[in-house]
Amino acid sequence: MGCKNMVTTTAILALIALVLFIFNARRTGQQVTGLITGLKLLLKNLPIILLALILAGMVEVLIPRDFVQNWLSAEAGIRGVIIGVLGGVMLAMGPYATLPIVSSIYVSGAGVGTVIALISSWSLLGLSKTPHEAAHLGGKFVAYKTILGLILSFLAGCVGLGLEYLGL
Amino acid sequence: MKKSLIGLAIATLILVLLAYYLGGAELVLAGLERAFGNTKKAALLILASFLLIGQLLSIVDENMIARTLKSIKGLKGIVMSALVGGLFPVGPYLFYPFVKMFHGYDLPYYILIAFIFGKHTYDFARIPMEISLISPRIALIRYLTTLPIPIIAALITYRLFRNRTLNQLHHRIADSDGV
Repeated sequence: MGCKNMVTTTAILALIALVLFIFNARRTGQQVTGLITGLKLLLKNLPIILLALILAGMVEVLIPRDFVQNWLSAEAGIRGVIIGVLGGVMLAMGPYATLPIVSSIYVSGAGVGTVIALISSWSLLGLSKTPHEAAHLGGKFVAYKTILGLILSFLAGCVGLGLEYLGL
Repeated sequence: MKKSLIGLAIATLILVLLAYYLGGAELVLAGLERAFGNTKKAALLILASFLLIGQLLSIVDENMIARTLKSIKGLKGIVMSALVGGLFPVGPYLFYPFVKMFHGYDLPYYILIAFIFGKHTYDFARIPMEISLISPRIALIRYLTTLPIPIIAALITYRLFRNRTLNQLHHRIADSDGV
């Protein structure tokens, strides 16, 4: 992300946080609790974020350009989307670890369709969720959700790929 | 959390060793330089993201969500469940016990699917992280392309199972197992 974009996005997020702070102050009186919760959550997740950023940096320098070009870029087409879907399932980590890794793959030249498929299938089917789902909702539920999730993540990736071909 | 951290530390260590094996200390330093650069660029964004998430978490409460889910049906119910799922602020350790606690088993299966797919696909608390760690453009395209996913999943489920609940489906499976 460019420096100017980064500043704009930071300003927008800070503004939204401020609006929610004021809303909270007027409606629930929990604005300070919200502030503390956010900071506690940041501190709790900081080691994971830092490690994930190091991991992402390593991925960026290690991932072979040819591999990205042939298998993950927009030119890879449907193949990239399929790899994205399967890769997303394998990412058994939370968002603070997964998103920097996805970012490094994107920066290395992966196509939008691949990235969309990767995030969609990770968020729906990431392996870290499966034990919880199976334990609380049963194996049949997991099987049904997996089939739906695979199909819909693939379709989302294809739409992303189509948008990239259209130059959006 | 501890397990994730250990897993991530091991994965990072493996990649650092691999980088050292392939390109020596120079490649390791190049990777660390990228990591440091990205951290420096994203630090304020990450802070703003967490302040936003904290406020969001203190606005949405579990009772509100349970009440909403029990009072809705049909297409409106699907859309509402998906949105409420996206607003639900907790991770998998609390999410599934919550579904069990408020008798998610007794909701129509399609509403449950909309809620769970909405939680995973929309997860509004994740938006700031996606924007800050990947890019605003990708986050926007990702949200737009996956926006219909919970609704399509719920409509397919309605078509297949109508108003049956997960409880009824489990019993049917158990009955047929018994025969």
